[in-house]
Amino acid sequence: MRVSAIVLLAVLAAVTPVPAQQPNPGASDLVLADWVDAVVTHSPGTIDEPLRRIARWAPAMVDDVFARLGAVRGLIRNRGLTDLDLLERAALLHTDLAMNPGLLAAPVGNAPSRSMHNVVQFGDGAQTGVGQSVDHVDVARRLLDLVPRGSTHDPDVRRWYQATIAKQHADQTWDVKHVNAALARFPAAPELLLLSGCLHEVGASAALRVVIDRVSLPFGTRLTFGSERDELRQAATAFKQVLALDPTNGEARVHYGHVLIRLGQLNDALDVLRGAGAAVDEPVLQYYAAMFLGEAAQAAGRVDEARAAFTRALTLFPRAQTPRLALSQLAWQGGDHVLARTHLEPMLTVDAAQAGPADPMSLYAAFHARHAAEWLDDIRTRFVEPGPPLKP
Amino acid sequence: MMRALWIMAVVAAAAATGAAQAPTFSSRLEVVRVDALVTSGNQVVPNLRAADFTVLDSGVTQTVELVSLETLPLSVMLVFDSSASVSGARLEQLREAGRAVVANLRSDDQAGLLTFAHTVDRREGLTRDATRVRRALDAMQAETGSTVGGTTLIDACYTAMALADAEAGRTLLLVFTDGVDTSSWLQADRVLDAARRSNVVAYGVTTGDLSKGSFLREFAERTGGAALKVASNNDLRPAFVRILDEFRQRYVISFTPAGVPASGWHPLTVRVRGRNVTVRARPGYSR
Repeated sequence: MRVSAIVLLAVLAAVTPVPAQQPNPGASDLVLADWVDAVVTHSPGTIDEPLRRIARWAPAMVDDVFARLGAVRGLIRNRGLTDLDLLERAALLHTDLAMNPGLLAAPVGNAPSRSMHNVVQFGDGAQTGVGQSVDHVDVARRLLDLVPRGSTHDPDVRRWYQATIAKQHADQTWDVKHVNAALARFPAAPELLLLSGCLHEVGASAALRVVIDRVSLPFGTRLTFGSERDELRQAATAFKQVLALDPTNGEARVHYGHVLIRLGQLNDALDVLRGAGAAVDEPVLQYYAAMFLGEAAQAAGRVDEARAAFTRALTLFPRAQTPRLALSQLAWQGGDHVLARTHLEPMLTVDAAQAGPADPMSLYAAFHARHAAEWLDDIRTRFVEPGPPLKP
Repeated sequence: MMRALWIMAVVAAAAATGAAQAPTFSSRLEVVRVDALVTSGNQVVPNLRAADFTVLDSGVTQTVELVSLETLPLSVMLVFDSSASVSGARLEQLREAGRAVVANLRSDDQAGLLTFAHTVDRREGLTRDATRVRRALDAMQAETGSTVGGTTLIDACYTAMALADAEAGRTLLLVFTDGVDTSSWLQADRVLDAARRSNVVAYGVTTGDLSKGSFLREFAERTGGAALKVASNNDLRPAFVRILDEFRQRYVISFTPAGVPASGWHPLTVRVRGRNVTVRARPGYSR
């Protein structure tokens, strides 16, 4: 039984599939030359003609490139490129393809391919489809795997993982395989461990469990997410590792505290979260720290501490609904129904002129990926080093 | 089931005399109301009298009266899912169902509209002005184009319940969702506990899952209401009208607690004597 991993992808826009271009068995040299040309002429970060051309490729054509990668040297030498130039530029091409799934062709036929993956699409808490496409993140990763480990370019590969994982998360794409590959190469990278922890934390969230627990999969495939408890444990392990490597990482502390609450370890959560607000500078992270501290305190029966924490969160974001809901429910639980209603009233009185951002809690799942765009830009700069002009 | 505490204070005081002041004393009579639905199969059982009911408060039989429904106005809070999946034909049918509820209210009844997607929004507070509620229904839109998404069913049910709890008459929450909660902050068990102590009766309608353990079902049943699943959008309007009609046929039983603890949680059992019927009422009240 063939078993392949599943990536959960949130559908943000309708996709009109284009039939994939099929390989011509007698044209491997042309395929390779076409690919090299696209790699060299593609402008990273843009949707240009070379990108669109490769987007139409069938998975078998990508397999063909890998099978004949050794022959690429001859094609790039006369363009003034080194092997490393090619690998990094090619990784950028395939990264751009991965970040633009709407461009990708739907494979035709059932021919197995190393380069193909299955994607579960969901929206508003329901599965909307299961599709197959070329796994261009995996293609890029396989290319960068050829960059010698421990070389001076290793840090760039590490940054590539950080940028691409963050971009996936920012786009509501949850790819366990990609995160695992990052940690296999860089097991002690705190920034990658943080991303891993956040992935598993989301894997335990209600928004994904609704889909995961009801998912309908093609025969022979399995989901790469485990049970809710498994995901929480993996998240906790990752965050704990981050804090062991970097005890000052306040963002990891906030996430760790949240996961400990979900695991029922309230005393540990309180210990972690009590210092979390002071360990972060960004108001949004301070807000999360306060809300989770309130949640832990309430669950532990520490009503005054909970009330103070929720009030602090409300002070940071006066327009946010979540602290008011929390304060209201706390009052109701204490028998003060009048106060409970008083807390709710302002959140329901819409004032368009009111200044200030709305509720950051709705952004929590992907807030850790907020720098994705700038990290991707950084990688594009690093991989495409200025050098001699490219020969046509 | 609906519960309300009516308190009558009786205070007597003696006139003060020279050196000594006469003692004062007070006593309170507390009336509890229980909102109950009586059915035989799928049919509501009409024309029952107070003598037909047995009410046990904490296991102790109470003396009951029936409150005339004509003296109690209704407050109906519509609580509608407006997440992205509720769009197009479903949104139109939901709007139509809401209008049908408003059209079936009497002049002293109230209605209001809350919607929920990734936040809870009050589109119209409880009001006797049916035009305002209809305008709010007309303006209702599904949340689209948002990268946030989400369905805050639990937060919305709590909000509606807390707001409506203070109403003097009988309060019905009519909750619609086509899915399950994906992004509420409040914990389901705390909201369910709050529901059983509330004055409102909730009915839930869904086109989605209503299996045992579903929040919508639990929430409705904790208040003495019910949840039902409809097969299609076209069934929303008749379902809503049926719920309102059924709500009007519930009995409001009142009693003054006697022989029971003065405070705490009071489990209630409501039965009909000598009849093989089903009684749906909230499981208890708090003092």
